[in-house]
Amino acid sequence: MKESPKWYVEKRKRAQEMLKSAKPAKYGPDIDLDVFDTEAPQHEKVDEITELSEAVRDASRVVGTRDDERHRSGTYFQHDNDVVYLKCTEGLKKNLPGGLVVLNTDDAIRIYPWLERYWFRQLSMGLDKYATYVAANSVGGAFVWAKEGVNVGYPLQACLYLGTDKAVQVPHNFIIAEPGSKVHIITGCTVNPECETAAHIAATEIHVKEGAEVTLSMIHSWGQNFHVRPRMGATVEKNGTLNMNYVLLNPVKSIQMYPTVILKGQGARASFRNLILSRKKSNIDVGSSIIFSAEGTKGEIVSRAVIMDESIIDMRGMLRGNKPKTHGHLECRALLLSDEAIARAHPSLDGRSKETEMTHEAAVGKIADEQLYYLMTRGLSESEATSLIVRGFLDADIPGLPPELQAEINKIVSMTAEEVM
Amino acid sequence: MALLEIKDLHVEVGGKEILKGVNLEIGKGEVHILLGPNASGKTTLVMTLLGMPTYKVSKGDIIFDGKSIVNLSIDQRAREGIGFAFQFPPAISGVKLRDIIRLCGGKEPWDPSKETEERFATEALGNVGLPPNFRDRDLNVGFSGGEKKRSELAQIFAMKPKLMVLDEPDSGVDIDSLKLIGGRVDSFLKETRGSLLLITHHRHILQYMDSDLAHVMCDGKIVVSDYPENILSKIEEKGYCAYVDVCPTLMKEEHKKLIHE
Repeated sequence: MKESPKWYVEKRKRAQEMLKSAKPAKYGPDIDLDVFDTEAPQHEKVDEITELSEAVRDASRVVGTRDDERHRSGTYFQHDNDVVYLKCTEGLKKNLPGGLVVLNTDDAIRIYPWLERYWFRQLSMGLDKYATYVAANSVGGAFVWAKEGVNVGYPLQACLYLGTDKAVQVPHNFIIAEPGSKVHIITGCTVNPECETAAHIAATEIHVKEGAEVTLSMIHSWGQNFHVRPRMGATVEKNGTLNMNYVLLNPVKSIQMYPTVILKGQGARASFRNLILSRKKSNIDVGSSIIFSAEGTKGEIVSRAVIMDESIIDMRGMLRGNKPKTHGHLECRALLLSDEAIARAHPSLDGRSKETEMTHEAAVGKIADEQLYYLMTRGLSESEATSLIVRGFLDADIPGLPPELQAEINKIVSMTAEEVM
Repeated sequence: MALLEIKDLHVEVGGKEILKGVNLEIGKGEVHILLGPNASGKTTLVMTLLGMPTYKVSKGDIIFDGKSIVNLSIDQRAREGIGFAFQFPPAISGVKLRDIIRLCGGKEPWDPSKETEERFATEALGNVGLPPNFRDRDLNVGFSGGEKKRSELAQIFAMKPKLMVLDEPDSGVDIDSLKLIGGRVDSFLKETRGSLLLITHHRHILQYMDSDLAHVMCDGKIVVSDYPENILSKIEEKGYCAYVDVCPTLMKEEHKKLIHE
């Protein structure tokens, strides 16, 4: 294997220096990264997903990974910090030879010298200590490169599984969509249920070029003592589209993320769909922001959260209209099912052109008695009615969400509604 | 034995007595009309019958199909056979009309992997003159007044209740809807031998259905019960003032009006 390029070695060295004085993130509790171990055990590569243990595959299914790879164009599978399986399907290779490149980021950096121009360009490595940590210590991550004009068809699935106690997963992901290409990536992050505590610190950089369309669906299912800090940045060029879907299913100790999309070219579009089940003692701080830096750009953020048990959630959203003829809308709704939980919405609009139009609506509240009683007059019990209303509330219409995942969301919501009663 | 027997019912809302001793009996297969000026207690009576929590029974009893239901929850009463069509049903986004109709009929929500084409709700909607695409609409979201009334009926019919309670199904609907609603209710009652308590202000809907008895509520009591035709013609001629002799509240209102004139 080729050695890492010089630029990379030097930049990582600098990041390691920076890490000594790196500042905590603006939001979310500060976590001590020294307690986690980057030297997780090595995991063997497999030739087929089915060779992975039943437990690993069970966990991956919950976050939308299909082990039969049906209706998928390829699979990236990471166990702790090892890429154990990485393949494009035969169908994809036949129909679009070389059209989609999927690699372990560490390999991509060795193979493509031009990656220097993409490395920590969509987000600053000095953003906070987590970004710097990834710059200094990243291992693996998915590198996805759709070539010009290629429509990949079925989604590519990426599963990141954390299976070792006190381990820290540090992937650096890239999505580069060349002009006119179209790609959908389903990323599922999941854990070994027997794993006590661990951390996931990641960087994802997305570059959507002219007329390209990228859909990234992220599904998270963590454990109750896990800390999660993904850093994400994206730019969208002329007439490009970026759709970001996020689903959080299970309790987590703390998660904080605030992806930023810059609409850089005329007619660029971005949409965020966030679906959050805030359970147990989770501390969740999730935001999305869109910066409209070219004329005629459009963007939308829709967030729905169901807040249960003793969880705390902060939902942020920011739209900044820098240029004329820009339109943005922010919608944030939180349904509180517990008196011990806290839900806060922080919508923010920032207009810097007199021809920009940025709007928002936010609501935090409990289920309306009127709706509950109405359904009960139809013979549904209180918990059945609650479950139906919550499911309806979460039905935010995420395009391209795998049906298995929709079923999983429904199952968890019904179960939780019964617990709440 | 009557299907519904309301005995000396006293009801408080927020500590204030609204119903002051209501007595009402509805037999199997009978259609009763409930009339009365605004704030006379009609809504309170219906909400209490349904079991809405803010309506507290301080005295009296409600016997349905042979047993007291005052301590049953809303859904238990629905399962005993009381079906209520709301005048202003709430909108619930994300909840599909087809699934509610199916749940009303004791079926699971629609699962396309088990049943490629949804039939049960589609048929129920067709019966009340709503097109098939309504099955995929969110419950009452963006429905017109007439569409809400029809959707309410489709749900209630699916429940096959022993007693239907309809709250002004004729308000704010055009003549075609009125005819359809009246006709469907009438044939449903005849098919199922069900009973009906109908709240209305107008006689028009009664052209399309048979009715047995009408009651006038005033100041928390039923003050007059008679054949619907007798009561309605009196009210249409003189207004509720026709019953000034049995309702002191109306007397006061009448005096006020006279003074103003």
